[in-house]
Amino acid sequence: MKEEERILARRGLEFFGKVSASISHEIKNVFAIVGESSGLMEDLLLMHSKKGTTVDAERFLTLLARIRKHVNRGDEIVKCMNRFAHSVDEPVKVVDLVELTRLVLSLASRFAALQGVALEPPPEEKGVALETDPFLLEQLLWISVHVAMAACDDAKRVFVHVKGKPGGAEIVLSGLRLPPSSFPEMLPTETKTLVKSLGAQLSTDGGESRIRLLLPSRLKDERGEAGQ
Amino acid sequence: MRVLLVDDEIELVSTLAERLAMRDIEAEWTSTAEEALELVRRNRYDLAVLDVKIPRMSGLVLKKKMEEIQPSLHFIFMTGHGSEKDFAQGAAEAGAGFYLVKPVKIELLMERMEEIFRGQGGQE
Repeated sequence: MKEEERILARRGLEFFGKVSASISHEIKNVFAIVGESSGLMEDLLLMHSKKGTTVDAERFLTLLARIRKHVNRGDEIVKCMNRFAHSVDEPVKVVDLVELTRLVLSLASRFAALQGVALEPPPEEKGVALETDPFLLEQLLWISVHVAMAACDDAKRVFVHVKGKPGGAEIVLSGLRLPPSSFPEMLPTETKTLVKSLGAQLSTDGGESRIRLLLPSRLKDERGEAGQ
Repeated sequence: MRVLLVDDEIELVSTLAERLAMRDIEAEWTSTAEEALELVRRNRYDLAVLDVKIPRMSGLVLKKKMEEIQPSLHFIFMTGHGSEKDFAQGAAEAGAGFYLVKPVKIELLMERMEEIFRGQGGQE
Protein backbone atom coordinates (compact mmCIF):
# COMPACT_ATOMS: atom_id res chain seq x y z
CA MET A 1 0.00 0.00 0.00
CA LYS A 2 1.32 3.41 -0.92
CA GLU A 3 1.98 5.86 1.90
CA GLU A 4 -0.81 8.19 0.78
CA GLU A 5 -3.27 5.28 0.62
CA ARG A 6 -2.23 4.23 4.13
CA ILE A 7 -2.81 7.77 5.42
CA LEU A 8 -6.15 7.96 3.63
CA ALA A 9 -7.28 4.63 5.13
CA ARG A 10 -6.22 5.75 8.61
CA ARG A 11 -7.90 9.15 8.27
CA GLY A 12 -11.02 7.47 6.91
CA LEU A 13 -11.21 5.31 10.01
CA GLU A 14 -10.67 8.33 12.23
CA PHE A 15 -13.48 10.15 10.43
CA PHE A 16 -15.78 7.16 10.83
CA GLY A 17 -14.88 6.91 14.52
CA LYS A 18 -15.40 10.60 15.16
CA VAL A 19 -18.84 10.58 13.55
CA SER A 20 -19.83 7.36 15.38
CA ALA A 21 -18.73 8.80 18.75
CA SER A 22 -20.70 11.99 18.11
CA ILE A 23 -23.79 9.99 17.18
CA SER A 24 -23.54 7.85 20.32
CA HIS A 25 -23.25 11.06 22.36
CA GLU A 26 -26.40 12.41 20.71
CA ILE A 27 -28.29 9.20 21.36
CA LYS A 28 -27.22 9.27 25.01
CA ASN A 29 -28.74 12.74 25.28
CA VAL A 30 -31.99 11.43 23.81
CA PHE A 31 -32.02 8.56 26.33
CA ALA A 32 -31.28 11.03 29.13
CA ILE A 33 -34.23 13.27 28.21
CA VAL A 34 -36.60 10.32 27.84
CA GLY A 35 -35.30 8.94 31.16
CA GLU A 36 -35.73 12.23 33.04
CA SER A 37 -39.17 12.89 31.56
CA SER A 38 -40.45 9.43 32.46
CA GLY A 39 -38.74 9.76 35.85
CA LEU A 40 -40.59 13.00 36.48
CA MET A 41 -43.88 11.31 35.58
CA GLU A 42 -43.07 8.60 38.09
CA ASP A 43 -42.19 11.21 40.74
CA LEU A 44 -45.48 13.02 40.12
CA LEU A 45 -47.47 9.78 40.40
CA LEU A 46 -45.71 8.83 43.63
CA MET A 47 -46.39 12.27 45.04
CA HIS A 48 -50.00 11.93 43.98
CA SER A 49 -50.42 8.60 45.74
CA LYS A 50 -48.55 9.79 48.85
CA LYS A 51 -50.18 13.17 49.25
CA GLY A 52 -53.46 12.49 47.53
CA THR A 53 -52.99 15.45 45.16
CA THR A 54 -54.78 15.62 41.84
CA VAL A 55 -52.97 14.23 38.83
CA ASP A 56 -52.37 17.05 36.36
CA ALA A 57 -53.39 15.44 33.07
CA GLU A 58 -52.10 18.39 31.01
CA ARG A 59 -48.69 18.03 32.60
CA PHE A 60 -48.59 14.35 31.73
CA LEU A 61 -49.66 15.03 28.16
CA THR A 62 -46.86 17.60 27.83
CA LEU A 63 -44.29 15.14 29.17
CA LEU A 64 -45.59 12.39 26.88
CA ALA A 65 -45.36 14.74 23.89
CA ARG A 66 -41.76 15.51 24.86
CA ILE A 67 -40.93 11.81 25.03
CA ARG A 68 -42.49 11.27 21.60
CA LYS A 69 -40.52 14.22 20.20
CA HIS A 70 -37.23 12.83 21.44
CA VAL A 71 -38.04 9.30 20.29
CA ASN A 72 -38.50 10.85 16.82
CA ARG A 73 -35.23 12.75 17.25
CA GLY A 74 -33.50 9.47 18.15
CA ASP A 75 -35.05 7.82 15.13
CA GLU A 76 -33.70 10.58 12.84
CA ILE A 77 -30.23 10.24 14.38
CA VAL A 78 -30.25 6.48 13.83
CA LYS A 79 -31.46 6.94 10.22
CA CYS A 80 -28.52 9.29 9.58
CA MET A 81 -26.15 6.82 11.21
CA ASN A 82 -27.51 4.05 9.02
CA ARG A 83 -27.14 6.07 5.82
CA PHE A 84 -23.63 7.07 6.82
CA ALA A 85 -22.67 3.46 7.66
CA HIS A 86 -23.92 2.29 4.25
CA SER A 87 -21.89 4.91 2.42
CA VAL A 88 -18.91 2.54 2.56
CA ASP A 89 -20.83 -0.29 0.86
CA GLU A 90 -19.77 0.58 -2.67
CA PRO A 91 -16.58 2.40 -3.68
CA VAL A 92 -18.35 4.12 -6.57
CA LYS A 93 -22.05 4.77 -6.95
CA VAL A 94 -24.54 7.34 -8.16
CA VAL A 95 -25.53 9.64 -5.31
CA ASP A 96 -27.78 12.65 -4.91
CA LEU A 97 -25.31 15.38 -3.98
CA VAL A 98 -27.99 17.48 -2.26
CA GLU A 99 -28.94 14.57 -0.01
CA LEU A 100 -25.33 13.63 0.68
CA THR A 101 -24.55 17.25 1.61
CA ARG A 102 -27.54 17.38 3.95
CA LEU A 103 -26.38 14.15 5.58
CA VAL A 104 -22.86 15.50 6.21
CA LEU A 105 -24.27 18.75 7.63
CA SER A 106 -26.56 16.78 9.89
CA LEU A 107 -23.61 14.67 11.11
CA ALA A 108 -21.59 17.84 11.73
CA SER A 109 -24.41 19.71 13.47
CA ARG A 110 -23.32 18.75 16.98
CA PHE A 111 -19.78 19.98 16.32
CA ALA A 112 -21.24 23.18 14.91
CA ALA A 113 -23.46 23.68 17.97
CA LEU A 114 -20.46 23.26 20.27
CA GLN A 115 -18.74 26.06 18.36
CA GLY A 116 -21.88 28.21 18.36
CA VAL A 117 -22.17 27.96 14.57
CA ALA A 118 -25.37 27.34 12.57
CA LEU A 119 -25.08 25.19 9.45
CA GLU A 120 -27.68 26.17 6.85
CA PRO A 121 -28.43 23.13 4.66
CA PRO A 122 -28.83 23.46 0.90
CA PRO A 123 -32.25 24.91 0.05
CA GLU A 124 -32.23 23.25 -3.36
CA GLU A 125 -35.29 21.09 -3.85
CA LYS A 126 -34.07 19.33 -6.96
CA GLY A 127 -31.44 16.63 -6.55
CA VAL A 128 -28.08 16.62 -8.34
CA ALA A 129 -26.96 13.16 -9.45
CA LEU A 130 -23.27 12.32 -9.43
CA GLU A 131 -21.23 9.13 -9.77
CA THR A 132 -18.60 9.23 -7.07
CA ASP A 133 -17.04 7.55 -4.04
CA PRO A 134 -19.62 8.50 -1.39
CA PHE A 135 -17.42 7.89 1.64
CA LEU A 136 -14.45 9.87 0.31
CA LEU A 137 -16.76 12.68 -0.72
CA GLU A 138 -18.35 12.76 2.74
CA GLN A 139 -14.85 12.96 4.20
CA LEU A 140 -13.82 15.84 1.93
CA LEU A 141 -17.06 17.68 2.59
CA TRP A 142 -16.64 17.11 6.34
CA ILE A 143 -13.19 18.74 6.13
CA SER A 144 -14.59 21.66 4.11
CA VAL A 145 -17.42 22.17 6.60
CA HIS A 146 -14.99 22.15 9.54
CA VAL A 147 -12.73 24.71 7.84
CA ALA A 148 -15.82 26.82 7.13
CA MET A 149 -16.92 26.60 10.78
CA ALA A 150 -13.46 27.72 11.91
CA ALA A 151 -13.49 30.62 9.46
CA CYS A 152 -17.09 31.82 9.51
CA ASP A 153 -17.79 35.53 9.96
CA ASP A 154 -19.42 37.20 12.98
CA ALA A 155 -22.90 36.02 11.98
CA LYS A 156 -21.69 32.47 12.73
CA ARG A 157 -23.78 30.98 9.94
CA VAL A 158 -22.39 28.79 7.19
CA PHE A 159 -24.61 28.65 4.11
CA VAL A 160 -24.31 25.67 1.80
CA HIS A 161 -25.52 25.48 -1.80
CA VAL A 162 -25.36 22.63 -4.28
CA LYS A 163 -25.59 23.25 -8.00
CA GLY A 164 -25.35 21.06 -11.07
CA LYS A 165 -22.84 22.30 -13.65
CA PRO A 166 -21.86 21.13 -17.13
CA GLY A 167 -19.75 18.03 -16.55
CA GLY A 168 -20.30 17.93 -12.82
CA ALA A 169 -21.52 19.84 -9.82
CA GLU A 170 -20.36 22.27 -7.18
CA ILE A 171 -20.86 22.74 -3.48
CA VAL A 172 -20.37 26.28 -2.20
CA LEU A 173 -19.95 27.15 1.47
CA SER A 174 -20.41 30.84 2.21
CA GLY A 175 -20.67 33.23 5.16
CA LEU A 176 -16.93 33.01 5.77
CA ARG A 177 -14.07 35.33 6.45
CA LEU A 178 -11.07 33.22 5.64
CA PRO A 179 -7.77 34.67 6.83
CA PRO A 180 -5.88 35.76 3.67
CA SER A 181 -3.91 32.96 2.02
CA SER A 182 -4.33 30.66 5.00
CA PHE A 183 -6.82 28.32 3.35
CA PRO A 184 -4.27 25.64 2.33
CA GLU A 185 -2.79 25.68 5.83
CA MET A 186 -6.20 25.03 7.36
CA LEU A 187 -6.61 21.78 5.43
CA PRO A 188 -5.47 18.49 6.96
CA THR A 189 -2.75 16.50 5.17
CA GLU A 190 -5.10 13.96 3.60
CA THR A 191 -7.06 16.65 1.74
CA LYS A 192 -4.83 16.59 -1.33
CA THR A 193 -5.23 12.83 -1.69
CA LEU A 194 -8.99 13.08 -1.22
CA VAL A 195 -9.26 15.83 -3.82
CA LYS A 196 -7.16 13.80 -6.26
CA SER A 197 -9.07 10.56 -5.63
CA LEU A 198 -12.38 12.30 -6.27
CA GLY A 199 -11.12 14.23 -9.31
CA ALA A 200 -12.28 17.33 -7.44
CA GLN A 201 -11.11 20.91 -7.08
CA LEU A 202 -11.21 22.65 -3.73
CA SER A 203 -10.64 26.40 -3.66
CA THR A 204 -11.71 29.70 -2.18
CA ASP A 205 -13.28 32.55 -4.08
CA GLY A 206 -15.57 35.51 -3.59
CA GLY A 207 -12.91 37.51 -1.74
CA GLU A 208 -12.05 34.65 0.63
CA SER A 209 -15.67 34.48 1.75
CA ARG A 210 -16.53 31.20 0.05
CA ILE A 211 -15.19 27.69 -0.28
CA ARG A 212 -15.97 26.01 -3.58
CA LEU A 213 -15.82 22.27 -4.14
CA LEU A 214 -16.07 21.24 -7.79
CA LEU A 215 -16.85 17.62 -8.57
CA PRO A 216 -16.93 15.68 -11.84
CA SER A 217 -20.19 14.04 -12.85
CA ARG A 218 -18.42 10.71 -13.14
CA LEU A 219 -15.49 9.42 -11.17
CA LYS A 220 -12.57 8.05 -13.14
CA ASP A 221 -10.19 5.54 -11.67
CA GLU A 222 -6.44 5.94 -11.61
CA ARG A 223 -6.12 4.45 -15.07
CA GLY A 224 -8.28 7.22 -16.45
CA GLU A 225 -11.20 4.89 -17.12
CA ALA A 226 -14.75 5.51 -16.04
CA GLY A 227 -15.49 4.16 -12.54
CA GLN A 228 -17.35 0.91 -11.95
CA MET B 1 -28.05 22.53 49.52
CA ARG B 2 -27.94 24.82 46.49
CA VAL B 3 -27.06 23.31 43.14
CA LEU B 4 -26.45 24.78 39.69
CA LEU B 5 -27.06 22.49 36.71
CA VAL B 6 -25.48 23.35 33.34
CA ASP B 7 -26.39 21.47 30.17
CA ASP B 8 -27.31 22.68 26.69
CA GLU B 9 -30.16 20.14 26.52
CA ILE B 10 -32.80 22.42 28.06
CA GLU B 11 -35.48 19.73 28.42
CA LEU B 12 -33.01 17.53 30.26
CA VAL B 13 -31.60 20.10 32.64
CA SER B 14 -34.94 21.74 33.49
CA THR B 15 -36.55 18.36 34.25
CA LEU B 16 -33.60 17.29 36.36
CA ALA B 17 -33.86 20.54 38.33
CA GLU B 18 -37.55 19.89 38.96
CA ARG B 19 -36.88 16.33 40.12
CA LEU B 20 -34.14 17.51 42.48
CA ALA B 21 -36.48 20.18 43.87
CA MET B 22 -38.95 17.38 44.67
CA ARG B 23 -36.14 15.89 46.76
CA ASP B 24 -35.59 19.12 48.69
CA ILE B 25 -32.56 20.21 46.68
CA GLU B 26 -32.58 23.86 45.66
CA ALA B 27 -31.62 23.49 42.01
CA GLU B 28 -31.21 26.18 39.39
CA TRP B 29 -30.30 25.54 35.79
CA THR B 30 -28.90 27.14 32.68
CA SER B 31 -28.07 25.94 29.18
CA THR B 32 -25.08 28.20 28.52
CA ALA B 33 -21.61 28.57 29.99
CA GLU B 34 -21.87 32.36 29.88
CA GLU B 35 -25.03 32.42 31.99
CA ALA B 36 -23.56 29.83 34.36
CA LEU B 37 -20.64 32.18 35.07
CA GLU B 38 -23.04 35.05 35.57
CA LEU B 39 -25.12 33.02 38.03
CA VAL B 40 -22.01 31.99 39.97
CA ARG B 41 -20.96 35.64 40.18
CA ARG B 42 -24.36 36.61 41.58
CA ASN B 43 -25.22 33.65 43.81
CA ARG B 44 -23.53 31.17 46.09
CA TYR B 45 -23.84 27.48 45.25
CA ASP B 46 -22.61 24.38 47.02
CA LEU B 47 -22.34 22.27 43.89
CA ALA B 48 -22.30 22.61 40.10
CA VAL B 49 -23.33 19.71 37.86
CA LEU B 50 -21.77 20.30 34.44
CA ASP B 51 -22.14 18.69 31.05
CA VAL B 52 -18.63 18.02 29.73
CA LYS B 53 -19.47 19.33 26.26
CA ILE B 54 -21.42 22.56 26.07
CA PRO B 55 -21.43 25.14 23.29
CA ARG B 56 -18.49 27.54 23.04
CA MET B 57 -16.75 26.32 26.20
CA SER B 58 -15.84 22.87 27.49
CA GLY B 59 -17.15 21.83 30.88
CA LEU B 60 -13.56 21.53 32.10
CA VAL B 61 -12.77 25.15 31.19
CA LEU B 62 -16.07 26.26 32.70
CA LYS B 63 -15.18 24.47 35.94
CA LYS B 64 -11.89 26.37 36.19
CA LYS B 65 -13.60 29.72 35.57
CA MET B 66 -16.30 28.93 38.14
CA GLU B 67 -13.66 27.93 40.68
CA GLU B 68 -11.94 31.28 40.23
CA ILE B 69 -15.19 32.95 41.26
CA GLN B 70 -16.18 30.48 44.00
CA PRO B 71 -13.19 28.40 45.12
CA SER B 72 -15.26 26.29 47.52
CA LEU B 73 -17.63 25.05 44.81
CA HIS B 74 -17.86 21.27 44.30
CA PHE B 75 -18.39 19.64 40.91
CA ILE B 76 -20.00 16.64 39.27
CA PHE B 77 -19.58 16.08 35.52
CA MET B 78 -22.16 14.48 33.27
CA THR B 79 -21.32 13.28 29.77
CA GLY B 80 -23.01 11.67 26.79
CA HIS B 81 -20.28 9.13 26.25
CA GLY B 82 -16.80 10.49 26.28
CA SER B 83 -13.55 8.92 25.19
CA GLU B 84 -11.09 7.42 27.66
CA LYS B 85 -9.18 10.70 27.43
CA ASP B 86 -12.34 12.64 28.33
CA PHE B 87 -12.93 10.30 31.25
CA ALA B 88 -9.35 10.71 32.49
CA GLN B 89 -9.59 14.50 32.30
CA GLY B 90 -13.03 14.66 33.94
CA ALA B 91 -12.09 12.17 36.65
CA ALA B 92 -8.89 14.11 37.35
CA GLU B 93 -10.97 17.23 37.91
CA ALA B 94 -13.78 15.83 40.02
CA GLY B 95 -12.81 12.26 40.97
CA ALA B 96 -13.68 9.10 39.04
CA GLY B 97 -16.99 8.55 40.84
CA PHE B 98 -18.09 12.09 40.07
CA TYR B 99 -17.90 11.75 36.30
CA LEU B 100 -21.29 10.30 35.43
CA VAL B 101 -22.38 8.93 32.07
CA LYS B 102 -25.85 9.85 30.77
CA PRO B 103 -28.54 8.76 31.25
CA VAL B 104 -27.81 9.27 34.93
CA LYS B 105 -30.15 7.68 37.47
CA ILE B 106 -31.33 10.29 39.91
CA GLU B 107 -30.62 7.93 42.80
CA LEU B 108 -26.95 7.80 41.75
CA LEU B 109 -26.78 11.58 41.40
CA MET B 110 -28.35 12.01 44.87
CA GLU B 111 -25.87 9.49 46.28
CA ARG B 112 -22.92 11.43 44.81
CA MET B 113 -24.33 14.70 46.11
CA GLU B 114 -24.59 13.24 49.60
CA GLU B 115 -20.99 12.01 49.37
CA ILE B 116 -19.87 15.51 48.46
CA PHE B 117 -21.62 16.98 51.43
CA ARG B 118 -20.11 14.39 53.69
CA GLY B 119 -16.78 15.73 52.37
CA GLN B 120 -15.84 12.76 50.25
CA GLY B 121 -15.48 14.06 46.73
CA GLY B 122 -16.43 16.34 43.86
CA GLN B 123 -13.16 18.22 43.95
CA GLU B 124 -9.52 17.29 43.72
